[in-house]
Amino acid sequence: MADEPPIRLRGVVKSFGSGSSEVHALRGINLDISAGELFMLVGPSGCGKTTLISVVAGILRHDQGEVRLFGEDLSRMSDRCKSDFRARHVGFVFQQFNLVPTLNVQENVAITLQIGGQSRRRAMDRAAETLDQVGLGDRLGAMPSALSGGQQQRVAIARSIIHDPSILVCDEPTSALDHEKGRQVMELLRAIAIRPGRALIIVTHDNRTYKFSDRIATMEDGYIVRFVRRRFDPESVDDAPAQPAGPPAGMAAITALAAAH
Amino acid sequence: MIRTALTMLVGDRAKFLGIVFGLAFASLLITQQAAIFRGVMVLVYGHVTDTPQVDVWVSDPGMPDFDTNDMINERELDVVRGVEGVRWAVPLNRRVLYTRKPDNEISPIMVMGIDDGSLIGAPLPEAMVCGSVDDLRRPNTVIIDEHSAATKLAVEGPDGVLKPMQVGDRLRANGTDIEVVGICRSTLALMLYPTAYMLRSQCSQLDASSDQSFNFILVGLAGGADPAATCARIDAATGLSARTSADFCRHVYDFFLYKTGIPANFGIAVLLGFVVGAAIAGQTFSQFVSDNRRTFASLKAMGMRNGRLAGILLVQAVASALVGYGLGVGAATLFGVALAGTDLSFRLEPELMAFSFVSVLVISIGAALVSLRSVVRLDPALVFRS
Repeated sequence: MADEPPIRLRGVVKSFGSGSSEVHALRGINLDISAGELFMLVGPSGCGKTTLISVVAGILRHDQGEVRLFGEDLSRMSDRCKSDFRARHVGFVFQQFNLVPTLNVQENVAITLQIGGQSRRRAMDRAAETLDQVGLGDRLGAMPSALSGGQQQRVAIARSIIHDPSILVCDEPTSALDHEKGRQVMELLRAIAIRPGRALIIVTHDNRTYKFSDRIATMEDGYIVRFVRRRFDPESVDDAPAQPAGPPAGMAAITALAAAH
Repeated sequence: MIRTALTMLVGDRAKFLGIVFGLAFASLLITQQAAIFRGVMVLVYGHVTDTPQVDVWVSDPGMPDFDTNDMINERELDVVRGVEGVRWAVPLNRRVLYTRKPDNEISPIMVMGIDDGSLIGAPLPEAMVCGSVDDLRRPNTVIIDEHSAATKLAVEGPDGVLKPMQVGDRLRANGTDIEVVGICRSTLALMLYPTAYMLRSQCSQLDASSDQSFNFILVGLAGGADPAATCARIDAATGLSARTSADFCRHVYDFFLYKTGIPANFGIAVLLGFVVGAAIAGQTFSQFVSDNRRTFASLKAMGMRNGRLAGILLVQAVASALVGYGLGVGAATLFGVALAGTDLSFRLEPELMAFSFVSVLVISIGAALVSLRSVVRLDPALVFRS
């Protein structure tokens, strides 16, 4: 187990509905995600990306297969244990930010630690530090509605990393932002979210963000059909516009189980 | 998390006000109607509590309440006087007389025809606002209650302004002028007739239909006499029904509580307050939770357990209940203050306030529990759907 990556999926199957209306969202996913890498999951709508990150994040129960997060088998955890696991080890960045509109910026960030059982005072102090890291140290008392989309996403990033999670799941973090704001968010993620021992998974449609990745998996119809390993080049992020997605020829591609079908 | 829960609640100002409005409405209606009911129910035995020197009230056993005229005769009074444990026994004749005021308006009054010799049954000296009980010994005299003197018995002057009836003013009954010789404080009568005190002999003279019978025998017990045993002896000796003052109050109270439509009418109003308040608060709370589905889903995804989410909803429910209750009871209290000095009786007691609070809390927590179902069943994967 010493060589086991932080996230390992083997033969993961997930369906919705039954009979003629049954939808096979995941059809035997095999996937390893290493610590310290920025892993992107791409593919057309309905291909199973969201289902896959929901399973990886422990908020959706898979039907078959094995999901191991940091050596722990997710399918053997009770809902309560999974909640605790998420509170301790998983951070989320959502497409629509999902900030609590009636809490100010600092309270929104602190809530992650409060869920984990920390006192409000400690959580608020830590939130102030984390917001400072993302460049919003001067907006602690602002309400989310008073912030731009980019600023709201930075608050969401602060919220997602404040408890130093082992897994960071980002769902379309730039799709609600313009090019410049999206670039800033991706730069921020690369700068402060990636560290040894943490796996970062980003689901995206935004091909401008591919250049920030270390590895890209392409999904189609519930299968991972292609893996592309990239070498992140900090110099390239200022290029505009970004090149469209697509696995450059000759790159190492690992076909998922489904690809054999 | 308590502060976070409260910030979430108060932050959505429109919903918060909607929830509080529903709960305040329920609290107001429940408290106000219950307080009026309680006030009315105290009136039904007000004349008993106004004569604290009486230990035992003797009445006809078929008499269901205080305001029914069933008659007792002198022979039965004599028998009661002879019962062991009875120190004194006097008659009380209670009836309605129609009088004409100086401004020619006719007003019915509830006359307490008290014992000519002892004046037992008359207002206590400390209840006299002006005049003296002893003045009732003069012919054709009456003492009236202070509230009625200023309202129903007030006399319209030549300038059209109502002037409270005063000592020296006169009422006319059955062709006889009777002079007001005193003003006293007394509990309002349930039927809202003015209360008047005069000698029993004079009351009989003025009431054309009167014979020598009367409604009650008022009894004072000898020192050391057992009230229950003495009552039992009076019952056995006369065939009448003797009750201690406390028992008699309860007897009259129970009659109005169980055998009249008064509780049902107030009960319906209270129920209406509960239902309407529950509908408004429940609907708004449900909408509040529905609007925050994504927030709750995010919190679940971030690892918040259902128990903690339930805690948030309960904190929000209790906070809403406290604010709504405070506003409702505050408004009811202002209503009561505004009623002071009017015929409408209002009695806000701690038990009623507790009842109102429990009702509001039930509504509020009920609304939270209904909404909680949807939160518990909320799929945290919702956060990944746009």
